[in-house]
Amino acid sequence: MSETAEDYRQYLDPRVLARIGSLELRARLIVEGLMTGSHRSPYQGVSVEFAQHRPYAIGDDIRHVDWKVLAKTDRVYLKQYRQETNLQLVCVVDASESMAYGSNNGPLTTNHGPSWTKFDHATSIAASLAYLAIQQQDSVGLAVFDNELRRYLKASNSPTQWKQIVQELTQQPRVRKTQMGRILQQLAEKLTHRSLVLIVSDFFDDLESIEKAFRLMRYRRHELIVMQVLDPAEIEFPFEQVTMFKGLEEAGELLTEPRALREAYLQQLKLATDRLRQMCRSIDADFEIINSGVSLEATLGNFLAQRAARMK
Amino acid sequence: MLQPLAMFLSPGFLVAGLVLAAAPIIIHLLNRRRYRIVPWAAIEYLLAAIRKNRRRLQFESWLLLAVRCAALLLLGLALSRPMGCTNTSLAALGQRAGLDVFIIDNSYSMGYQHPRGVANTHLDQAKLIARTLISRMESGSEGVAIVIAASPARAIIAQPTYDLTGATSTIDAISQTAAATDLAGALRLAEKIASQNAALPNKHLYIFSDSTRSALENTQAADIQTLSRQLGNTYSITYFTLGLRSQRNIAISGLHSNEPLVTTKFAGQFLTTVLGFNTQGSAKLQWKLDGRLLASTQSGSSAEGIKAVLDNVAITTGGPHVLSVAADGDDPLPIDNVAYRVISAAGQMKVLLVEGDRGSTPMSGSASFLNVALAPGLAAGKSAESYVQPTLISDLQLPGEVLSDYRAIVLANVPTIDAREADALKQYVSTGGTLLLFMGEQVNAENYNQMLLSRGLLPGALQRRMNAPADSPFHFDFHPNGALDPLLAFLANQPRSGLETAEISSYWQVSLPTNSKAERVLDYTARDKGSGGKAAREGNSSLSADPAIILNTLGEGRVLFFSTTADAQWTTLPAKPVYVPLMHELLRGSIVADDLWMNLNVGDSLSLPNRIKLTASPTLQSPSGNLIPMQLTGNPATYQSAPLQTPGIYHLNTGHDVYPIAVNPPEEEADVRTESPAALRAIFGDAKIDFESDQPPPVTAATDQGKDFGWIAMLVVLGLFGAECLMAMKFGHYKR
Repeated sequence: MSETAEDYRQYLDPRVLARIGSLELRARLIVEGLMTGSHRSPYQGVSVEFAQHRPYAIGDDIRHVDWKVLAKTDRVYLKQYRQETNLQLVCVVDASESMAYGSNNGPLTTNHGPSWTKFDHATSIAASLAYLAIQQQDSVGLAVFDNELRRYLKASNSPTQWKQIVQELTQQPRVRKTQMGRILQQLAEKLTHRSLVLIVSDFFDDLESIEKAFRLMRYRRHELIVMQVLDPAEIEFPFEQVTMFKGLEEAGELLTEPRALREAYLQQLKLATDRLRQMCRSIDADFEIINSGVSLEATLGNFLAQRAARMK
Repeated sequence: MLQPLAMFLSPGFLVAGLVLAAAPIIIHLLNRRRYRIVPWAAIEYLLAAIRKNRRRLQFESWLLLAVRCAALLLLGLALSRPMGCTNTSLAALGQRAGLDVFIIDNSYSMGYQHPRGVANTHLDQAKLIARTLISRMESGSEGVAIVIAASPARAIIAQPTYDLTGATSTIDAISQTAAATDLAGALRLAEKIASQNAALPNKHLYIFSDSTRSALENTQAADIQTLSRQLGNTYSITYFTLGLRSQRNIAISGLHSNEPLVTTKFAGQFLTTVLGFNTQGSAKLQWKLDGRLLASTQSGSSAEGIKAVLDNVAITTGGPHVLSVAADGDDPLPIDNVAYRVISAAGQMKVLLVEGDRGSTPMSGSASFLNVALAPGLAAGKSAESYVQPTLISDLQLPGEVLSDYRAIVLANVPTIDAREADALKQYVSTGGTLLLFMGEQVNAENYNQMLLSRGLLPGALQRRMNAPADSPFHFDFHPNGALDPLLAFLANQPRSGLETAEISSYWQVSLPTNSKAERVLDYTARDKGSGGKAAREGNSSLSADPAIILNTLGEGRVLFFSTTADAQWTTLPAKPVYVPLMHELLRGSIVADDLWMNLNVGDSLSLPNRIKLTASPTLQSPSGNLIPMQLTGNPATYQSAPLQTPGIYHLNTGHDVYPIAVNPPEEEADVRTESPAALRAIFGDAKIDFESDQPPPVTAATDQGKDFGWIAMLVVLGLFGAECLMAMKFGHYKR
């Protein structure tokens, strides 16, 4: 792997990204990092508009080899084209209070830098994928919600759309309790074109109402990508001492011995996650659990690779 | 039944355990008060987990808390060493704990030969029983201490050991001694061990002795009785009697010369005592001098002792000689069948005569008279006929003399003694020398009182000079047919010796202190009442009779005080026939035999007198040829050995000479007759003692009472700690 790729990948670590104030810059770094690392775009395909040449890599489809270049230079290059699609990507980002939780300054690390919250992780994902889509001339829309649909940007592929999306993601407050099911239903009503809906949330809400909303979206023939963002502390529950857990979103509090409760808690979390996964599978939606403590390169890279594989 | 607190060896640990048991509860409560606050998004899942597992979590929490409290409480209980559980099946779980003290008599009477299987002597059998008892003990819970009772008693394991193998080895290593029994000392040591280990329960005292009269009916009897009663309250005592009812023994003891001074000029007479206990008939004695057989005699024997005498033993050379007497015959205790005596025969006894009459001519001074009297031929320039070898000097020459070269020093009419001379004389007498003081015109009484009296060289202060009227001289209060001092015994029944008719014109009156231990050899007749000499010799100083000759002891030596002159100046005694023999007998009788230090009993240390010349570091060789170290001790420093434990002839090499040293077994141990059971109970003050025979007692079920449950409790504690670890891990209280 080249030195440049290494340089980019270091920016994909959440703890590094947390230091980068600008979401726009973050998203660019993430996408550039992704592109530089893999040398292939999962959205690239056969089209009429030539985009670029790139060196052949093991595993590439030989149907895209530029035989003329090979004959002239004795080097193997692939021809890449801009894919022409009528894809409409809508990023739906949960901005409720529970998304404000981040343990990067907490039990998982001794780093005393700025906290990296689930919301930071979610917005980074949304901005990155929006950037990728716009780069491919696809339309991108945005919906941000907490207990209300706070902001909605219609899908567009204009060059200014991405900047607007980034600006909205940056400005959203995160202090309210979510009512995801109702809001997704509202959103389903708003989407008139068939869209690829990316929902990024922790899904700490009533799963039944969410399921209803998902089914409604599928009924409207939208394609769903569900990303559940969880903090490392929520996944591992690493607490030792007696702790007072103060619930976000006005959910009460609990004084307990965490070591004794750990197993039961993880079991409850798994139950919820499994149910969400089962729910997505039943409506043929992509489901991914995103650990906000893990590098975005791995997260997005894996997700896009799997998705590309399914598209074939 | 044990008292509540006595049920625990260390009750303090139990209290500590009770306090510690509260620690987990306190920590739990403190933790509930001191917690961290964490904002938490997934609170719904936590609440759901709590709702679903509340009862289980509470149960686990209480169970863990209870286990932790119980573990700490039981730890305190285990360390407090709980005792008890009388006659319950639970007692089988406990270990027998306690202190077992063994007193093993290894005095020489325990060497009595009486084969019992592999054991040949009483001591062998005692060791066998002790080993058997130790083999029945429980390793790690019963401490063993061992005391040996041969005089002086000593604890060979004073601090109880739990190494039973080591204790058995220590018993195996106990050796037969030739010493007497010190049972009182051994009991005292057992009492000390008990007091130092007061916390240990189940104290058991095992005493192994042959119960001989010599061991029990002696000066320690009262102590034995008192100590036994005291120990009966502390220990449960078992007494093993190894001795037989019909033990017999022949012993030779008390071998000595009939004369205080053995010389090469006169044949000597030697005596010994033949002791026989439970024996019939006579003993055949073999007398040997320096290993050479002198004579064989027959002698009867009895428990009280029968004197055996050997006359006309001529010792022709001066110096130390070894005389021995051995009894032949079959005796189960042969160690005391031979007695040794080192005799220092005087070949030429050097006497220093110090003349106080300045410018005197032969036969004109006191010392000159004595010179002639003690060595008549020598004074006349002829060959020596006497064993006495006098040296006549002026008092001015006294400071230049080495006093230790002489067996006796005579100060005759010496005017004054300075402090340095007085110190030298005191040192000389204290270390075994003999000083004879004769008065005269020159004597300065004030100087004598100041220099000699304060150093113990005068029996009393010189009060005043007594002068008799010319027509009424003083006389010695001497009655040849009456009671005589041993020094004058040679004049018994000799009415014309001249001593009673000798006239004394003048003498120095001596004031004897009321508590004086000085021996009044001869007095003057009382002048006022004419009381008899016998009354005067009874030592009542209130009588008017003044002492004429006084014998006093100072240290190891003697001082003979003669209150008048040795010449004819104040008395007509020199003209009497008795004069020469009297001077000889006074000298011979006051001389201290210089062989006492060479005759010791087992257990005594050899202390080398300072008068013995050394040209090298002294070495002492035992009868078996081993070298025994001699060390400088005391002030003034003298060479001394460790207590000598083996009877026989030792050899001391001073570089200049080799001296034989005789070591005999203590004669008081010879009486091997054993006490009856009733007498034994009385001797031990009717203390609670289980008397056993000479065989190991049968194995009996160990008493349940006083068993130690500390180890059991400790095992439970370990189990609880293990359970706590497993539960805490299972309940998710430890990091995985």
